[in-house]
Amino acid sequence: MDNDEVLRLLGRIERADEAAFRELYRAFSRRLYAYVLRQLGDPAQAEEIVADTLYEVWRQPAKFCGDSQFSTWLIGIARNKVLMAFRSRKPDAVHDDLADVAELVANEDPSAFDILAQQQRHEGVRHCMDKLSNEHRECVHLVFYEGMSLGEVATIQACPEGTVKTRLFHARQKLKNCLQLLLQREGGGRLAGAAS
Amino acid sequence: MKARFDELLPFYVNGSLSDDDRAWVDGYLREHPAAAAELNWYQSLQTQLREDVPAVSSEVGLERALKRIRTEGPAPQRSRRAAGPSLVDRISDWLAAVLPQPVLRPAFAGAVAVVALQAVVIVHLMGQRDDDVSEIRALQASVVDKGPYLKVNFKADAREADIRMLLVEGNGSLAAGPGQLGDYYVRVPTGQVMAFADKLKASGIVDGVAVVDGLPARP
Repeated sequence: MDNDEVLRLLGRIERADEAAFRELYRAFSRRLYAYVLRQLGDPAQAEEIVADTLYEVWRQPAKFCGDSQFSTWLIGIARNKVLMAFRSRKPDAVHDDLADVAELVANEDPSAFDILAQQQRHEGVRHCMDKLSNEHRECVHLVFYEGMSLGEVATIQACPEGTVKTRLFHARQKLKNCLQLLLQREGGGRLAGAAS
Repeated sequence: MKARFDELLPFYVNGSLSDDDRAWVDGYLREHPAAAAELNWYQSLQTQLREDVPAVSSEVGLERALKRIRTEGPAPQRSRRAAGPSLVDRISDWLAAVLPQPVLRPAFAGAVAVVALQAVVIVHLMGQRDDDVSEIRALQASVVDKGPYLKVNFKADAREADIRMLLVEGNGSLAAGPGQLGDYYVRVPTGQVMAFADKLKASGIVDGVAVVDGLPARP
């Protein structure tokens, strides 16, 4: 759904048109849910945040001016709610594991990329994404799932573009090494087979 | 060169690069064929992330949002509208703010309408000056009768019957009074004012007499 259609629906929502709200909701809920679930990993909490985020649209539809993609604007709202959810959680140390992973395997051979491209599976990618830090995971999601530009990611993450580049670089290294390690373990020491 | 390639490649894959940067990456890939392996990996990663869509309905959380709208949600803001809200819209907003319970709004609107109708009737009556019995006449300026009159003060022990008898004997009639200071204003036939004033001064129940031009204005 492009911004023109979004603005038309928002105009109807300003007049308390519930049907327009439903249409807008259905158009963006799954993308929003994917983002929140990727960050929190809790389906119930993700559903709650999606509903709360789109309820904000109902309350203040005029806040969106159309100077960015509506999905980017929505993710900005959802991100604040995700950060609130993070604050209420106990810190976990799962992300530290990847520092060790990065030391264990550091294969920069181009053929290693080919093998990963051919053999990595959804489950392995999801597993390694979950191992990333919140900022790195979010960065990868915004770039590869949402297709955002460097500037848009920097806006969402409220950081300089250079920081986004650095986060992407480290996320790339950790993901690659994590996936290689998975393939090595499952393939008995060789890069064969994928986590599935 | 490699560092710039690494920075641009993710955005090359997701299609958000400018034409110039895209051309630069294309040139790098031509010069370094081995770099295509990294490109392939990124493309595979993007495909897998996008295919790994959570299996949920597009209505995930919708009922929860609608419940909030119907129970606690305030009316949407209307600042985007170019023209100002109509009178009906403003009244609706005001009612929504005053009475969050929709079921009470029709009754409240009816009561407001009755008050408004009463106000219209009152304003209409205020404009009818030819109505002799209207209380509005009291708001108009008093008409002061022209004299001369006699302003008379009677002694404290003067009886009402003696005052009446004195006035009748001189063809006088009471025009106003007594005021807060005990002033009586007596109307006397033309040409008899001074004679009646002398008669009053000679009476044993009169304390003072003065000729005045007119009656005092009514408060």
